[in-house]
Amino acid sequence: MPLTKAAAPFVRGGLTVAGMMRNAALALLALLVLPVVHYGPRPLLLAGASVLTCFACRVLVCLVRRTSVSFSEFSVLVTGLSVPMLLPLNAPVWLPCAASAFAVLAAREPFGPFGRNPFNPSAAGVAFAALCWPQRVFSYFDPSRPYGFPLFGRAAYRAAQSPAAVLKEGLKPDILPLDLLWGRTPGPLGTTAILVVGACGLFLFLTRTAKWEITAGFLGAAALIAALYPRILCSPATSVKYELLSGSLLFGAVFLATDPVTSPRTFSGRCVYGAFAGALTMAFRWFGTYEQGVCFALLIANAFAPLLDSAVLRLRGWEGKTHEA
Amino acid sequence: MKRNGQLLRGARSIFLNGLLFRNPVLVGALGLYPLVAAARSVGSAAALSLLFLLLALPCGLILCFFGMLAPRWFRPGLVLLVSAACYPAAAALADLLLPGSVSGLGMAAGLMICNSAVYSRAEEYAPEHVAAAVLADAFGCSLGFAGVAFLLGALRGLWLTGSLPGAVLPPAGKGFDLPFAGFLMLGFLAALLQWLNRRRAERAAERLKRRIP
Amino acid sequence: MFAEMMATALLALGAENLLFAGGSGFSRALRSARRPAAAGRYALLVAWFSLASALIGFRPLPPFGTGGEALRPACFAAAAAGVYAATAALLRFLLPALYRRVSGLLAPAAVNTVVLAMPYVRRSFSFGPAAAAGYALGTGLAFYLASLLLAGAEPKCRNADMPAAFRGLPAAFLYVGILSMAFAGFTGGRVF
Repeated sequence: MPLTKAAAPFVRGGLTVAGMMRNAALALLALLVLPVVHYGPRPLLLAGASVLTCFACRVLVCLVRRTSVSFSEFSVLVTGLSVPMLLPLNAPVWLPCAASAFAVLAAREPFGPFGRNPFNPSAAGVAFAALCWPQRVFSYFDPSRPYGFPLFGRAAYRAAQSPAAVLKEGLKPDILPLDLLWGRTPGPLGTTAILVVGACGLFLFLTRTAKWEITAGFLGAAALIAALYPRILCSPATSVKYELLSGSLLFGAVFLATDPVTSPRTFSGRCVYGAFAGALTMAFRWFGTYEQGVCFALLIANAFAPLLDSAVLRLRGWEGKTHEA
Repeated sequence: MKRNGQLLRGARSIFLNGLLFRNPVLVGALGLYPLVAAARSVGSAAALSLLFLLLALPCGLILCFFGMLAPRWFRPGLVLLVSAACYPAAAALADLLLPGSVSGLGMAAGLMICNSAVYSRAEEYAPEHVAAAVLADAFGCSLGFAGVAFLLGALRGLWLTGSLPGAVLPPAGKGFDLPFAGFLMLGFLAALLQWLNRRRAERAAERLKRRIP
Repeated sequence: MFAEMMATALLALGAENLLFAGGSGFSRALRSARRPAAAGRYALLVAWFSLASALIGFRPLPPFGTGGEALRPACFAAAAAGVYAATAALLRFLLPALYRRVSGLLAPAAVNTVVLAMPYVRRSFSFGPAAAAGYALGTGLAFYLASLLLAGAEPKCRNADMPAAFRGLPAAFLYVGILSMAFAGFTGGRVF
């Protein structure tokens, strides 16, 4: 019987890669609903432009490589939808397009087709945008005032600091921690509606699209560090609430860290990976320049994923045992 | 006459290998630090290239003539000493030709002393080859390094100032100043060269196939 | 003193990482990654030479006056060459068994932009001796981690499905670039 070496993700038991990507895309689309309801169709423009850019880059690469163009690859759609979720609604349209183009052309395609990339493309694209255009990436509008964001052109809005930026300065945000659940705070497009992010996470765990242990490890480590080393003068519980509910930490824990291609294969490896990524995210929040550090933290954690798998397998004395799915 | 012709052809091949086909940066992964950290404009690229040439040439020649006299285990230290001895003159000459360029490079200028491309050619290649080959190699590698430096410097400089023709994106700001941009550009340039080398190898194989019935 | 050393060692691993944030020493790290079994020894040697280089930087150099700035790096490099020669001679003549194991690694570990950047780093961050020593040891550890990460990335950078033009070194450059981008998130700007 010929054995062929398959690319990640390694799935079994009724799951298909296309099914997993479809579920992830559905979850990301669900995050667009509230922003569209509150602010009009502009979120759809940003998401659409980002997705189109991803597909255009993919087509370009297929033409250069003289391979057939396949539009059934949902992974490109997932990348195209993830990128604008980490950028502000008031960002110019070219910003998610630039980030998506980088994600596909530099972080994904040079390493081969789906399943070969060592880094999460969305995290790489947003990190690139954050380093090149930090003023655009970390500038948010004040959602407490009514705005109409035109589909094209600039909107007039008042800039406001996100709770994550306030915490970075060592100050307590004006908003109560539990009010962060409803999504009416300054922040990236798809990360402020915490309840929706949580519900999407639950959907992904129940459909086995995402591994719960990664998110649990991520949030556990972040909560522990927030409790032991609060950035503001408050009780540990308040610090944990602010840290977990502000910024793109929860989004990163649910959507980015659980990427089946770039996360470890073994259960123990995934637990350690999640905790490592969570700890790194908190390190970036403490010592990094930017208010959001989850993308940078995830890229470093992605690099350690193969080492974690090797370490786990070596500890088990692996000799021909099957991998866990 | 025939020997001179062979020597010239050999030197030409060595020169071209250093310049392009076995470029020390894009194929050998040598001398990366000054390019990714300091080649941020055409001016800095020129300064780096000049320093490279002014170090590679004397180091290569000195090690060609005297390298075999030193014990093998001591040769790396000797290369570093020779490079250190050549550096003040090289820096002074570079500053004379391009005023203010060396100080503008900061740490990268001083670290050219231990540039891995200069070091490896002087330590491994020069002692075991004739002077003509060493000269051709030094010039080829210097031009190869300069080519990559100018490409990187020009692209980063254009992107930083937003002067790319037909540019639709605003200037990339300080982000492209960072080493990561240099590494990413090197990746694409190395891919281009690898593609060229593969095409060349395929054509050579086809020519050989046609000659042998 | 120990706390200061640990703090700067952590700095060398994270925010002020010479390799990933500064872009230094990757020629050597890429080569070290091709021999993962020797990565530990390689990194130890890098740490030793970095330590020596960092401590050499504390010796006051004679005032060279204006225009003498070019002599400073030359003096540091000459001193580093002396350290290499002394280390090689000591190992070769006193510990020949150990010398046989590390002879191939001594020169690349000593003649390295990471090692020779130590005096600049010390001056740039105004480190005292303990802090400089901690930074040097942290840099050795960072070099070891970089070698491990690059060794772990080897299958991804050489897989059969990727475009042939990117297979190998070009993909490794992109890998290093993206990882360097991640570390740049600590500083947001140039460190060195």
